[in-house]
Amino acid sequence: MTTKVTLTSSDNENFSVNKEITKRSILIKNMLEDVGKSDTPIPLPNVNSKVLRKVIEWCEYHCMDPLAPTNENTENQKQNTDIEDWDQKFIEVDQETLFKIILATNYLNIKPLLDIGCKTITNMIKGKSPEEIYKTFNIVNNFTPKEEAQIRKENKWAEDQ
Amino acid sequence: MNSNKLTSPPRRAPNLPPEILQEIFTLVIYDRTPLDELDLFACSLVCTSWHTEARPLLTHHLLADFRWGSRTPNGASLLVRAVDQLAESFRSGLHYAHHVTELTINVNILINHGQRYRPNCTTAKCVTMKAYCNLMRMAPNLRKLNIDLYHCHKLSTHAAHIISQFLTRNIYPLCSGITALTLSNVNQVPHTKFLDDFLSCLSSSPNLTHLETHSLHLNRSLQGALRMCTSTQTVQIAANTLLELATVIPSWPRLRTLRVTYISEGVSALLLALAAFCPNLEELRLSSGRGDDLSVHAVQNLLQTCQRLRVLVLLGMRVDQDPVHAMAMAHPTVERLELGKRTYFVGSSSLAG
Repeated sequence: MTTKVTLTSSDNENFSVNKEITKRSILIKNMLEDVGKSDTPIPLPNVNSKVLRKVIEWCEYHCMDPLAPTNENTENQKQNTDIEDWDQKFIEVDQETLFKIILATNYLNIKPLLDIGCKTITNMIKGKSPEEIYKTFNIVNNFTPKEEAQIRKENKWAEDQ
Repeated sequence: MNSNKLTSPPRRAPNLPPEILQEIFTLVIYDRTPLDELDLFACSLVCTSWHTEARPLLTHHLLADFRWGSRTPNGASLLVRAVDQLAESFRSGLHYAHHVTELTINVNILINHGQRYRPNCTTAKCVTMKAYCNLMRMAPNLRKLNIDLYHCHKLSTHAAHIISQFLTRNIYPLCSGITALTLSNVNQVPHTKFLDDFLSCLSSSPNLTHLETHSLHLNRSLQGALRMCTSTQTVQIAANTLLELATVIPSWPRLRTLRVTYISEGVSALLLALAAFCPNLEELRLSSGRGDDLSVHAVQNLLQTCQRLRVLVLLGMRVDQDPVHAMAMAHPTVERLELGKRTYFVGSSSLAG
């Protein structure tokens, strides 16, 4: 018999989820280990219901994936920005949701989904001008001469290769 | 979004924390191709928080030695994008263009279509030419200019004429800060007169002190142009023989450093010319590919008149080594002497290698 865990989103919506599936999140996995057997809902104040629903959907689809990849695997994953078909479809959301999914997975500590989010952003950046980038992501170009003077003073170059 | 601009501010994206931005930028730059570098460069211009994370990943040489457009199939578009981003950095007050000290102009990406450069023209070639001009205008610390003729073996006379006009009319007026000129892959090209014309223009600049050229046949036209560069102090050349070069030497009274790789013939003539006309010579490095006969008399002449000579390297020469070594030992300033495969550190009177 599978045990269920209740997760509460920032807008107070409860999600009853298979315990094994919630363990995709290292944050929740550790919480469950610390708390032991308990029926108390787990509050997730940084994740709203829309985003939490998406994250749970991803965890359910990937429930058969091996847990916690080794460092070697993550290195391999990094080598290209290819995303599997299902994940590609899954991550086709508006940019605001994309950013929120990334923030949520960072908070929940779900590395494989975080990687997919980062790769998606990377693919969206490729070949774009700064203006196209800040329009794509609704970022406000906040450079002011004062800030730049400070930035220029502080920043060093990367090691030349 | 624009229609709401006056009533409500555009919806701002949530800020991504630094560790996530770092993760993204590491992915952007993963293969370190020129395109990746350009993408990272763009990221650094998006906003201050992106700049903070992207900027430390940018390498200095990327801008200092500006060779976007070099030897890649999409060179022209890379170049135009890179220059646009430099202009963008200027508008954001970041002045990345101040880091540019060296520029490579790839003639190859300028010759695809035979058109005259017109400032308002929007064809691909004109846009590329304009990018080079804009870059030179934006970069106050640009000192070294490299004209690269890589893959220009099919250059037609018409195309050569267009390039000549571009270099002399559009590039030359922006060259006041240039101190060093490099001409690369010259022997791949059937018509090089346009280079001579450009060099003749530049020769009037007292700032041009450094000349470098590879794989070169010093024909009469180029000899003429080189003779006009009277401020020359440093020359690095790859040539067939030293005979033509010897005829140019009298025009370089300020010469301090001469490095030549050549096939064979003419070393004694060159040394005699140097002795006669270049009293300030400090470094001479000659390397012959097929061997060359060097007279002790020519070396003696050189050492007697060039009283500031510190480095004398003569590789691939047939010469009586003992008297040359003795003369170098007696010279007041020579520190290093290389003959054949032997290196003498004359200053410490020891024999090495």
